[in-house]
Amino acid sequence: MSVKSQILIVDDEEDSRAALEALLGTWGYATDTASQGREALEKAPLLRPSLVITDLMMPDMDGLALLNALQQEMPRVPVIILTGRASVDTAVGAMRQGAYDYLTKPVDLDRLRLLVEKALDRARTLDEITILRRRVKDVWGMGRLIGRSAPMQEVHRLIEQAAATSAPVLIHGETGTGKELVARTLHDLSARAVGPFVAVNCAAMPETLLESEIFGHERGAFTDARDRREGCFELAHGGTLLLDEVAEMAPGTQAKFLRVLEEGSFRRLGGKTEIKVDVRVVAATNKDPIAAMKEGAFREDLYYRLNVFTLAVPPLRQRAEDIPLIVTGFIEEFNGKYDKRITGADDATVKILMAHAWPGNVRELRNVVERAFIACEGDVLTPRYLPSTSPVAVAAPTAWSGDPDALTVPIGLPLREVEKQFVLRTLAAEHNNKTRAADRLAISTKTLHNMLQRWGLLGRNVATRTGP
Amino acid sequence: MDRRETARERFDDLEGAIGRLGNLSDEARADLTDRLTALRTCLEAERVADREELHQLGHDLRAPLNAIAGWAHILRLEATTAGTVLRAADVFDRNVRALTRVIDGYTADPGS
Repeated sequence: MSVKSQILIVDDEEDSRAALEALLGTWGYATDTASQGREALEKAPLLRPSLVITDLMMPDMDGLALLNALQQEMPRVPVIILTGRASVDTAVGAMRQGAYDYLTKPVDLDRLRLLVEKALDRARTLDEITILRRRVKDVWGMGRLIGRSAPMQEVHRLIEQAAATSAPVLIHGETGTGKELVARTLHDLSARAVGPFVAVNCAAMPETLLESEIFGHERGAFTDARDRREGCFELAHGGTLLLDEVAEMAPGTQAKFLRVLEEGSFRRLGGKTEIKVDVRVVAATNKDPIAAMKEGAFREDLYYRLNVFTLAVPPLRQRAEDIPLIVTGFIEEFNGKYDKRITGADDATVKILMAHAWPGNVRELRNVVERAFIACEGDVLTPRYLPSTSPVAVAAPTAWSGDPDALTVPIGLPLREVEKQFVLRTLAAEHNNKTRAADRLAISTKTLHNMLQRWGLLGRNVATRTGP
Repeated sequence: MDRRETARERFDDLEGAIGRLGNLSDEARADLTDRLTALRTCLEAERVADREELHQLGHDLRAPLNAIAGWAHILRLEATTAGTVLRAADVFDRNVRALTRVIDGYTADPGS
């Protein structure tokens, strides 16, 4: 499915309107028409046109009044005015009110074609800027979706399968595994790649603010709503909307969200007009969706509606063989970012990095590599650049939902490192209870105390999740 | 030089000549000045109306021309069907008649 730009043609003269409709169709655009300004205003919210071409002189509402109303309703949509009056004051008036451009009838069709292309280009750029401004997180911070391991090959396979459809997708995985990157890749591989990709974190804001962010609001909808604002659903029209941490959404918002999924339309907060959008929805959660559903955090009907495609992103510890590739990718990225020429990480460093459990997943690995990269004075990363002699001290083990009793130790890992990881993992498994951990390790509490002091971890809760 | 400029020059000459009349009473001079001001306002309104009429004429001519130009462009496209040709012929016919009506309306003798 390719998403064509939709153009709304407004002209009270039927022959001109039909000619323009036929021509724009042959130029590859989807079109709709209105014979009056008021009809255009009724159609616009449903059509979400990328461009409006309107006649200036019309009986019920002239082109300038329509332009003015459209600017209130959808300010980023460019409007081209066609006029039978070849006077300078008309042209100046149109441009002053914010028309993208104007053309005198009979229209020079080559010029119109060029103008349409330029106006759509500009509209796309404006959309992109708005979306980028709203994005709080650095989507690309995690780098590309790297990995040749079996779990990642399965992720790639599922992404390709889902990209061919417009069905909703539910992504789940621990914090830092790259769920947003998976959603972005899904978007880039789909026919919607030319459209926008909009991401919103449902856990980052309170309920009213989140609803306003997702659905938009009308002026005066609530105390601080001084202006009308388009929501993420409108911004993502023709593209993909990622709702991250969807299980954190309040039940009422989940119900509204479900309605959009089922009907493809919604109203802005305080709005009366039903707005229709063409958006592919991707939801992501770091919780086990079935468990969240049982706990009542995730509406059952929403889960089943989203569960057309489910994509589980594996934690880094289940694909440790991908770590060398990921580290290489980060080093390439940081060479550009910090203008350095580091060629890679030596074997010892890679071994240490592969041995760690990475409870904060790829995000945590990235932080450790970035810190080592900044500290590195040579052209190769060595263990001495890893924070506090080893990344484990930075990234203390946590009580993640995986297997807390398993510890994979590669051959060649320094014995002191094995000891440290083993002790910290045991402590984490015992929820930081030092007495029970010491019992399990068959050492005294005093010995455990000394060890933690030596590693600079005394007083720190190693069982606390360290992901950002 | 167009006829309105000629009229304005003559009006200015007349205003100058009145100014040079020495033995006019103040009352007569004020009366003449008022009449001249009224005439000037009248001329200006006529000029605005003329301009508006021309703009309207432009619009009335350009609208049918726009339809004709659009459909002529469509006929030059490779994928034109017989139905499109017939539709274009209808558009040409209808808009030529509309243009004729506009021209007739503007050129008709006001007394006829």
